[in-house]
Amino acid sequence: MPKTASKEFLTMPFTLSLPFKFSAGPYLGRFFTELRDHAKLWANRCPRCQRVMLPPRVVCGACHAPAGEWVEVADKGKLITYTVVVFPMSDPMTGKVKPVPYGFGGIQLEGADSILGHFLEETNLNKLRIGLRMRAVFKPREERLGDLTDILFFRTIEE
Amino acid sequence: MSDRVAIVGLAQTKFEEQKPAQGFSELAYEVVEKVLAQTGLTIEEDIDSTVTASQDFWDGRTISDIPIGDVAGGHLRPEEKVAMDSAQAVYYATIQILSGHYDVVLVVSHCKESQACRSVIENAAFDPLYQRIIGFDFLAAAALQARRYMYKYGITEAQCAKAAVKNLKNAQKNPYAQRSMVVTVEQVLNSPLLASPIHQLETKPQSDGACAVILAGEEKARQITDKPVWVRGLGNCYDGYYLGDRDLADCQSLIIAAQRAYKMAGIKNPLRQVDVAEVSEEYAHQELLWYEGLGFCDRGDGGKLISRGVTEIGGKLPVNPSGGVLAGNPTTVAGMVRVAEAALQLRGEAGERQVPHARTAIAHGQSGYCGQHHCVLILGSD
Amino acid sequence: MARRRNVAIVGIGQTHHRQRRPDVNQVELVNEAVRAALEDAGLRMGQIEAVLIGNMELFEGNYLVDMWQVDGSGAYLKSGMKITSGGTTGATVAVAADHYVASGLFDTVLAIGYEKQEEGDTNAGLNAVADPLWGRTMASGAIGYFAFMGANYMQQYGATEEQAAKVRVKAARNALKNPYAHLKLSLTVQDVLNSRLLAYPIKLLDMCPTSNGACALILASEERAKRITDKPVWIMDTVTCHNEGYFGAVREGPSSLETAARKLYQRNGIAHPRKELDLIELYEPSTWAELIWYEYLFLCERGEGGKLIEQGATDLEGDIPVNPSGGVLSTNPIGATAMIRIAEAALQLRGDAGERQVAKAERALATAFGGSFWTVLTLLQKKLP
Repeated sequence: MPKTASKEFLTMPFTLSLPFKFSAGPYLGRFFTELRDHAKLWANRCPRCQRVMLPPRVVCGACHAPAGEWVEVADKGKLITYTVVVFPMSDPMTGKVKPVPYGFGGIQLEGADSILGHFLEETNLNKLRIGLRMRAVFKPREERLGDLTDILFFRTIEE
Repeated sequence: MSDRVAIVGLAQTKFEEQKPAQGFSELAYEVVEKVLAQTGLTIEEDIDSTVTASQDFWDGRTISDIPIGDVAGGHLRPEEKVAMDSAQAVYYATIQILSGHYDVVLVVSHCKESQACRSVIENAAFDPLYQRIIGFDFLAAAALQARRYMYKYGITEAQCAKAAVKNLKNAQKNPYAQRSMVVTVEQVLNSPLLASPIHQLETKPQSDGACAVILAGEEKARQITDKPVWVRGLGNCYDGYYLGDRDLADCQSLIIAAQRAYKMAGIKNPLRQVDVAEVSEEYAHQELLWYEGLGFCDRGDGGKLISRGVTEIGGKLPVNPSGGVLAGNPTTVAGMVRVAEAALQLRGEAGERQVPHARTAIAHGQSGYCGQHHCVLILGSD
Repeated sequence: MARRRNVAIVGIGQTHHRQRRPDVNQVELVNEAVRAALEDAGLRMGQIEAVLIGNMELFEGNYLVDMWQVDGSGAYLKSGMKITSGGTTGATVAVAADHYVASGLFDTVLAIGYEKQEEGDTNAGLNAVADPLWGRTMASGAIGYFAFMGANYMQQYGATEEQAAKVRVKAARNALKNPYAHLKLSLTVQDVLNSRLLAYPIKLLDMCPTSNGACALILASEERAKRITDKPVWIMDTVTCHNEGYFGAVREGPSSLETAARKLYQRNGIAHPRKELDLIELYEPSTWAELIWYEYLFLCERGEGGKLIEQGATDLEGDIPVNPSGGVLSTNPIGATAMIRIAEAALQLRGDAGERQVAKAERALATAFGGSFWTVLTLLQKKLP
């Protein structure tokens, strides 16, 4: 590995590359399978507080009650919050810098209590406001791999 | 305020080379659910605090306890992560109770080695300026340690292999053990050489799993269980870091950690006063070296001790009746598994691997290559 | 909080936090803060019984970094451990040290938090906070989440970007009086509003920097503390409050800060925090966070955070100074940041805060933030009741 000596201070460059294979587990596993195969979104409900949770999970953290029934949620909902990011940042899954500007927001899908954070198609701040109705735009079936990017982004539903 | 702390419940998963059906949350939840059911406690009513043990590096996750909060009582509650071998998490939970701040503490540790690349991660434990570039991982460092240890004290390869033979056979009686087998010294020494003088059967395998215990102050402990396992002593200590700073044939930080724990527990002669020991041996030769650090024999006599059968089941001081780390435990989780196994012994619940009349046990965990940090807990039935 | 015995901070040390420290490696950086704390306490390393340390390993890429650090931290042949919890790390280490000394097993404990951010990729480290299976691709770091926070706050209460900018102006003004602060800038509201947009409404000056720095605290039992110093700072109470792991874009449900504050105030008989606290060192990664968290700390009503700063109430000379040190907006070595809040609050209670000294300083609150919106609160007092 090359060492570079600046005029005064010696430094050692190093790139840490850590490969991983993450098990999805049964809950995320089912969510991603349904997303990939059917473009459907499934959440689960806490039997105690009745919260419909995305992502579906093994326990409700607040109640410590084990996961309840599966609930399908709509692929559309309300924009709860948003921003347009102009500062370039890398996508940690690919190492590539995400092209800017991109819209990023929180959507409450119909039927769900949790809010889903995802890309927004719209990058013009003037056209975004809290309360807008949004719909998920999915990748075509052959491009879907079973992760959240199977949804490309959320598109404003024109009234 | 409690002057005494006890383990009141424990749970472990079966350890396996990989557990592809579960993510971290599900894995941790398995042991949390088990230990809560066993004790009849609930998070809301009974658990004051949670201490977890996991590693950002192994989980590929900055703040690796984030997914554990949901399943282990972290929502709007206290949860702290000890980023070391989980025997240290049990130690810390004991301190939390002795401090008076909390009275019932849940401790959970998880790791899925199957999801990551061990050698890259271990290489990152070597400092970026001086040692990392040589390409060390823990096996290479342990090999240097084994060679030096054997040289300095005349320990033989056969004596080291005996630890593997013993532990892999002991594991036959442990339903949680990842692997077990009946092998001879010769078979161990004929297994593929990984890094001289360490052979494959002398190293721990890749492992996934989780473990949980609940600790409580004396009054609560007696309400929760009629078989509390008391933490009678604890001690830990850091050794030096650079391989070249240490005489790898020695383990002064284990000696110091053990002495601290023994002092608290009133133990002057462990061979006589301790009935069973669960130690963390990632490599077979380390078990012999840890005997010496724990004062089971004089310096350099680890080989003699195992040759005389002292640490076999049925011997004067059985070590690793569970099969130890060589039978398969993931890093970080291993230390708490030692605590759980020792507690099972003292509760008389160790099934076929039970050491008869066990009343005082040692549980030992270690962190860092060649065992730089050691954590020793003395547990007792009274 | 029940405790076996009282614990005080008897030694405080920190480095001069900087964007670049090419002159020291990470061990040397830590040792600077450690030596400063020992000198401050008039103690030798041999008198320290345990060393607790925290650092975010994936940032600088050092696995088991406490092992490498033993020479600089003083942990060699000593008892000790490593505790990490993201942004709250520095406070969690201090709280652990409090547990250690209160337990009766240790009389004198050293707590260290540090980050040498230039030696890592901060954005990569932060993005790895997100679940790799849920949202890591979209993750836009801290910037994204505080953008949401700001956008919603403006929408809900009519707060303005000018009000947020005032938080930064206050922080900068205070930092100029703090020799340890990283960013020492003279800023006007217009400077903040004109700074580079990162993600609406977050501009560069609405966010904290990344810094290189270390902080060390020495804690001792009451008996020892009184022999070590005539200005011990007492740890009256701490509250650690985490949150479930997932949050889609905004935190649903009650905030851990509000929950923790309620608990702390109730346990300590604090009914009017604005009157009963003399100062707050608040962990504010963003200007908006400070406005909103005034409310969650019950310094004012919901939606009134902007008014509070406009009144000058939280200025150095105000009735409830917030971040006399210049806060996280001026200095942010992640592993140390939460400990710096405690250190700065303690310096205030000792009357050792130099030009940034708050006039009346008997009781202080230090907050910490991190993880999936976690909180650690530390209540400090000059005198035991």
